[in-house]
Amino acid sequence: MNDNSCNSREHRLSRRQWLGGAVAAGAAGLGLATPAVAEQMKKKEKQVLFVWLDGGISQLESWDPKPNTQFGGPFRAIPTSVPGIHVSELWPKTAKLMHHLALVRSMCTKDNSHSAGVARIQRGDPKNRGVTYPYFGSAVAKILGPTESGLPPYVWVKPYNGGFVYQDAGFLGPKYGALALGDGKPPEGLIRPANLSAEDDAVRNDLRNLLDRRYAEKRNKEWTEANSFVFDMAAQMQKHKAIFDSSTVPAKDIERYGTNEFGRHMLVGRRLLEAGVRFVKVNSYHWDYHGDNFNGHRGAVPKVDRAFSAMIEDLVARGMLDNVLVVMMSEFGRTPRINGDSGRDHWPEAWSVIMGGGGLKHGIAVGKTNDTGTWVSGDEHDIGHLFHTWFAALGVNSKRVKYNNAGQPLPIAHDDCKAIKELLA
Amino acid sequence: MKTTAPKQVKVVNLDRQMCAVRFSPDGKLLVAGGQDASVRRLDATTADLKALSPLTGHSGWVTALAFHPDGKRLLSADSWGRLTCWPITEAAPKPAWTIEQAHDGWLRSGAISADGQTAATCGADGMVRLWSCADGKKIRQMKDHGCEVYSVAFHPDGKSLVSGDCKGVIKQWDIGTGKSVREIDARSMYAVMALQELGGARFMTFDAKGTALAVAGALGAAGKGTAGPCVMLFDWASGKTTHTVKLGAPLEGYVYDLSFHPDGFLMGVLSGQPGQGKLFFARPGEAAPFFQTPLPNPHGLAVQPGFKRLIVTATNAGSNGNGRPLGKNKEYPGNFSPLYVFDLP
Repeated sequence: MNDNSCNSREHRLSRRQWLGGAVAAGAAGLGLATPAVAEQMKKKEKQVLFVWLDGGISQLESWDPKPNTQFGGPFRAIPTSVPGIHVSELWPKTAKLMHHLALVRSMCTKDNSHSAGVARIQRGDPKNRGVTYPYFGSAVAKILGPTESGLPPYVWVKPYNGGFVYQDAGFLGPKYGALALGDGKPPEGLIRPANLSAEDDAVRNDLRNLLDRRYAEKRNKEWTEANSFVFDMAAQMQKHKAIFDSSTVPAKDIERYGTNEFGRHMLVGRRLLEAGVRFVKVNSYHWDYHGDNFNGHRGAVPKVDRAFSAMIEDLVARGMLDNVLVVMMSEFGRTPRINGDSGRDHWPEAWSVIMGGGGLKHGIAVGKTNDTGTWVSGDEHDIGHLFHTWFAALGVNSKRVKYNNAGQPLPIAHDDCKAIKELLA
Repeated sequence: MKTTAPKQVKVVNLDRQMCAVRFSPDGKLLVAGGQDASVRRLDATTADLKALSPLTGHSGWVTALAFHPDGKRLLSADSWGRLTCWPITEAAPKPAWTIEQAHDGWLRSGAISADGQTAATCGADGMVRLWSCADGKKIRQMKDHGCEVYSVAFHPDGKSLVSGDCKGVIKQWDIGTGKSVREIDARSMYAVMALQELGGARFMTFDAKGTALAVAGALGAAGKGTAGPCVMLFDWASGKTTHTVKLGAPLEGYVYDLSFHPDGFLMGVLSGQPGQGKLFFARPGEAAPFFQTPLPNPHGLAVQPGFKRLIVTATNAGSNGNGRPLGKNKEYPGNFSPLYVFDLP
């Protein structure tokens, strides 16, 4: 991008992009899927919903139950809509949608610590080349860019505070960071105050752009681009402010997703996807049951089951699931061994991930663990395998596409891993 | 009041982790419910607690055990919802009756009325149910809790039952009619933190006269988790709190099992972070337990009739750890339960 060019949104977005965004905004505002909207949705580009359960959800209390075995815990397994696939009884709603979803039960990753685990997994744990790799959301934002909506390509719905999380972007530069919506709320100041007219706002923005250009002349390009990018994306989000207007959400949807924090955030996530955000991450914290693991899962999982299943139902109903790659995962699994505090500790050796949607086969479970769930039986899959698989599902050839880090070509996923073919449609 | 400090006399290891432990009314048999779906029988008249053949047929974890007052029957219940009555004095007991789905899922607690006529159970399905001890026939059910029910206890007068739920609400029921009589408020033993719901009435028991109800668990700290193990004591006549016995720091977990001593003090076990926990004796109204001894993650306390012996089921040391801790032969290790035997003076 030319440093001296006008960085305004209007110059960067085509009319077609504007119209695409307007259509999606209309759908979001209604919160409904009319046939016309559904048809429009079918034409949409690939998107991602990445549900991050920060910490480690237990594979034994979710996608790889081992009932009545030494480490199986107190819960039963239940059948799903796919004959032969059983999951923990804590997931009755998701179980009924398994024909839309896929499981990987052969995850074996390298890190059992929180301090490194979050970044290591979300960056795809590539070979060390002396650079900080981007999180998956930033990678998708860079490689696929915004959708026709022109909305920020990487939006993170999370508890607590929001802001612009440039750190996720690694060497790609801050522009590809995450726009974080604290508690699912719009960025502070997004909504133009009622006492500020559109004309005055435009004048104000012109002045800001002028000052930005002067400021940028003697400064690092990456940072000034990112600064400008944030303002442009904010301006674009103003066009979609209905996303945050809960009064337009049918009460039935609010009930279906649940009124708890995660349910509310997943509902915002759905509206962001409907509006055309390329990559939506929804975060839940505190999945770290070193103690009271079974009561902990029993209390928290039903809330996730409820919202996650509602999301899948809605993506199916809107004809969006074919284009939206859905992933729900943690940093690692939890130990088969049950400690004295009725907890399970960190276990990267044999765990599970649930995914579904665009580009993936559905109704399958790939990989398996032994009878007691302690180790993977057969091929192990690292996070690098998942990155290759996800990129393939998004139509990106991860063996050919490279990042360009100031002239240095870098693979977008671990060189030694490859896509899990059984998962790809 | 004299100080009654127990003396540890023996430790007997069981090969798997145990959830609950109880003495028979004659004190000669000890039973333990395991995470291996078995009920272990141990001859309490032998010095080494000689193992008898275990009772099998349960699934998941055996979470609740209750002896019938006649000493001839034992009720056992599991986390898949099964309730079984065993003729426990037989050499190789076979179930007298079984209710496969007494509850839909985790059956959390069971108790038998003092007259031996009625058993009560509660579970993850939010239900409280009464059963005939004679044949297992369901007498009635109460579903007012609206959330998971953790514990039940019969009042000694034989007319009332209390059930405590995961939010610290205690309900008193008229056994004869199944009608709710009143609520007792232990909500301070519940907290919400993000998606987590913590606390609840983990265990309940009455004193022998039925004048006090003790509710075991931990105090809640809204938005933060739990604030330390505790026992809340309620005056049965008024339903009001008389004492909140605080027993440790937040990371020390929950009080899991509890019994009144005839001298009026509480004997209980609490368990928190791996390796942490203790057996404690505490007098209501005093700032600290008058006796406590550390034990690794105790979850069950069996009091021998006559109050001469206590047995605590705990957990082996070194029960936790991230990653792959392997055993001597590179096998993946499981944990187990040592039984700590204490004699009372």
